[in-house]
Parts: sequence; C-alpha cells; structure tokens
Amino acid sequence: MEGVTNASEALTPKFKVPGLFYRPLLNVVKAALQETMAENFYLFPYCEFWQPSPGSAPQRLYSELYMSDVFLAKHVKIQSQHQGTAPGCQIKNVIVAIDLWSDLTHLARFGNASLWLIYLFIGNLSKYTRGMPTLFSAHYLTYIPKVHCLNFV
Amino acid sequence: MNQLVDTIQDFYCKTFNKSATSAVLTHCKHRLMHVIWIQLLDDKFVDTYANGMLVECADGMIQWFFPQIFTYSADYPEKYKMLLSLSSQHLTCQQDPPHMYKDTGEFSLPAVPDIKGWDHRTQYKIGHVKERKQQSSPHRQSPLQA
Repeated sequence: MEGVTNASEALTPKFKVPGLFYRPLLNVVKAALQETMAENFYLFPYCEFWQPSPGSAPQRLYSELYMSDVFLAKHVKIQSQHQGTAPGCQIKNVIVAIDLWSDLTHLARFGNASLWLIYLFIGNLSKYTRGMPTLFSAHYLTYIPKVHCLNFV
Repeated sequence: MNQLVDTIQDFYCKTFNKSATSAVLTHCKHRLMHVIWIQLLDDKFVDTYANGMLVECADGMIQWFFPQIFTYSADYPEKYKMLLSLSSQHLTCQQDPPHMYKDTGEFSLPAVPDIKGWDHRTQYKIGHVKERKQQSSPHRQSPLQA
C-alpha cells in the first residue's frame, strides 16, 4: 500500500495471480534442437566480407546474429572456459542463441479477444528462414494472464 | 484468462480498506512481469547457461549447447514498462548468467546491454514516451496502462 513500509518483503500481503501458462525455457530450447529445423542452424559464428571491386578494401557485412561481434565474443569465451577434456573428443561447445519477444496479439477481427504471450526464436537460424510463417520457427513460452484497466466503481 | 483488476481491487479493499490507485496497480503489473520472468529463469536454466547441456540433435550429432539470450524485443509501450522498470545497475550485468536480486525480487537479463551503442536511459525518456503514447492506435494498447 502507498505510504506504508513493511519490515521485509516477506511480510507484505501477497496476491495470487492465476492463469499463467508456461513451458520451462530449457524444455523449449531442447525441443527446438531436436526437431528437423535444427539442421538449418548455424552453430559456428563467422565474419562475412564483400569486396566491391578487385583491389578495393573488403567491407565487413553485418546480416545475421551469428555474424555479429557479440556472438563471436561469446563463442570465443565459451571455448576458452569449457575446453574438451578427452583427447580426440569430437563433441563441440556451441551456442544456441535465444531471441525473446513479448507481444499482445488479437485473436480475431471482431471482438476484444486477445492473448499476451512471450515467445522465442532461435538466433542460429537465418532471419530469412525465421521470417517465413510456413516454417513455424517461433516457439511459444508463456501465456501471461490478461490485465484490463477498468475503473473500479 | 482471468481479469486481474477486478479481483485485485477486491483483495486490496479487503486488506487495506481503500481502493488501489492507478500507481499501485501499475506497480503490481510491473511486479507481475518480473515474477513471471523469475519463474522462467529457474536454477536449471541458469546452470545450463553457465555450464551447457549435452543434446543429441535430429541429425544424430551430439554437442554441448550453451543457451545464451541475445535479444528481448517488445513493442513500444511494453518496452517502456519492461525496461524502465529495471534499475540501471541490473542492466550493467552483461556477461553473467541471469539471476535474481533477492532483496528487491527483480531479475537481471543480460540481453539489452550487449547491443552496441544502445542506451536505455536516453532512448526512452519520460517525455518522449508520453508523446508516443498519444500517437499509438487504441487497438494496439498494451494491457499494461500507466
């Protein structure tokens, strides 16, 4: 309540909000890795350059998440922190990039039915692939309980 | 889906003998978003973020996968609610795994500061937010109203 101080967070009145539907984040990521779309994942970052004409300086291109400096830096850090132990070990350390989105979406043209959800895309996929609705590359994470701002009378 | 406001007003009136102001309701909605994220970023995820997990993919290849959160995108009103409700000290945590600050119950998400040149404090000043809110279509209002 406004203007009231409680001794600690534990002593404040609690209000339960029902109606949250969610999937654990790890389960969603594992499911994404085990479906056939995962064959299109770019697991290793790289830099792309374009040379406008022979002899000119190549220009760095930034197009996908796995071509970015941030992804490269994280990849390098993970390689240095988690080096393979067994000689001849073929198992590699790779990043699965999570891009989170949250949005309110209307369910129909008529009426007020809507859903507020959090979903994720895997950043290892090309943005052109992710942008194709028919490939269903979005993974739903949470349906948040809807909040209406009605005046209380 | 349950309508939060009707029942939270009942609860508030019963507990404090007065109705909740819009500022209190806004605060509750911010807290709701943070608590939901605390549910999602559980200990198992944080451990996997730091140490990886072995997964066999559809093509039979086994790798150590490290889930890393790179971006969090939200449309304009939501971005203001989400990001401006986080204190700036939490957003300086760039390389650590997500964790919850036990004293405030808020979480930190090392996604936004990784974007070079992006400064949340100058991008979403209060005055700028008010102008954009007036321009937005009524059909695209976020359920969170200030």
